[in-house]
Amino acid sequence: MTATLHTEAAAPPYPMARRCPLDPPPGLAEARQGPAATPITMWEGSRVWLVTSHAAARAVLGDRRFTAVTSAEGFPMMTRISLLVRSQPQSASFIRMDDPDHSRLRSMLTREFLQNRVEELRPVLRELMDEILAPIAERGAPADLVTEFSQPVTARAIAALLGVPGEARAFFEERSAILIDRSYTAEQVTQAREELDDYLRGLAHQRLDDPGEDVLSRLVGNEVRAGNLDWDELVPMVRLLLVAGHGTTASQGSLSILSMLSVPTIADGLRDHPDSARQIVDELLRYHSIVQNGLARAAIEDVELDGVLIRAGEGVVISLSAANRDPELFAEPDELQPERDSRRHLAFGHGMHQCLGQWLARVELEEMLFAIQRWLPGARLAIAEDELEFQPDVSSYGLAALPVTW
Amino acid sequence: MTALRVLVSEDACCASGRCADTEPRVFDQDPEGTVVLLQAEVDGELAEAATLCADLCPCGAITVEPASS
Repeated sequence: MTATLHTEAAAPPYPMARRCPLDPPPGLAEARQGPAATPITMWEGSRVWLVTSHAAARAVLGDRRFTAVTSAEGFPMMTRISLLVRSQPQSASFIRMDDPDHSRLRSMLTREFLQNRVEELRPVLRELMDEILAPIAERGAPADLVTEFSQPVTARAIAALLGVPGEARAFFEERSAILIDRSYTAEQVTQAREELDDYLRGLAHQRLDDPGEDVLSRLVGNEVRAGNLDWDELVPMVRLLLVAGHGTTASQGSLSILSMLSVPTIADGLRDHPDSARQIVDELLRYHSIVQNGLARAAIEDVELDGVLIRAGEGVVISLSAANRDPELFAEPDELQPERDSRRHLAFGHGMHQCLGQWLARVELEEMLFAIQRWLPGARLAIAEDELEFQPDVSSYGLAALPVTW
Repeated sequence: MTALRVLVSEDACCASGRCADTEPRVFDQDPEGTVVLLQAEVDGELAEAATLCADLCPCGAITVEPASS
């Protein structure tokens, strides 16, 4: 065995800096050429392993010797909220649990997010997008498709699914944006989370007496009432769905629209062969890999990963963006190729925590692209591409704005 | 491609649905989302698809092996 985590001299700071806004940091490609895991230094000074190849990423994410529990020894400190979650493990949702707790909770939601269930929502999503774009098309150019389209669309979609009323949308949009942004302080993040939790607790109690046709009502009616789910477990679960179902899809949606505007073969492909939308969406997921800082785990046993010994109590960051640009899997990986078969991408992760909402995300992304083609077929960037602003400090990478004209 | 035997583990299945989406002639899902194997032996195009499904399955619930073994 060669390097160990603390004896290896080089442990570059993480996250690394990008050079081109649409490509991962070059440091990730360099790391991918080396051993299966290499040391990095997190924001508060701790050292963890970084995994960058597709094979190693799949191996770690599929291996139960790595825990998702944030309070585990050596767990990577990804953001300031990591410290908060460490100190309040009871406020974690199932994304931060291992089995059996994780599966017990997640399985209460599986049926709601099955592919065939999500397909039933497609007409509702289409209608929602038409409601948002019709007035914009009528009013005329310009428009910012981040704040006027992607964000409201995805917020309304997840709010509708969960039964969160329209008047609360701005409230939860603002709070969930804070939760994923590294530029906020721990106090601000704590406050945002508490306010969100308080609101959700109140709404859930209302649903006991006044159920609707939505996920929250069914969770309260079927699981809480039967004693399978505590209120303290329900609230983080619903918060997770709101946060996971909003900013991520919005970011990926805006970036996908940008790609459609920049790469004519994408728009042509969607128009001429709408059945290819799924394939195009998966290539866009691979290319953009918005979970830009990767996923975090900690070893609970010693694990040998292709010649590198990861000891129990050592943290691992799995770079999804590096894995998605791995030339071993994807030829010319830095090229966006709409005809590529990208199904092996890891944008939704791998292992038992693989994104529960992946089918909803795919359908939303397809419908967002179709909707822009339907209502703004002549849309083009209103500024030069190099003037576009991105959000480098958030866990879900994205555009700050997407100004278009037509 | 040689003929393959496909094996699924309902216990390991986490209902992701990647298999049924990728090759609905070999994999389906029950109402809970758990994998249902439609063909235990496949060859040609279906064997290639089944191999991809084994890779895509996030929980390792699908394995493929040569049918002759």
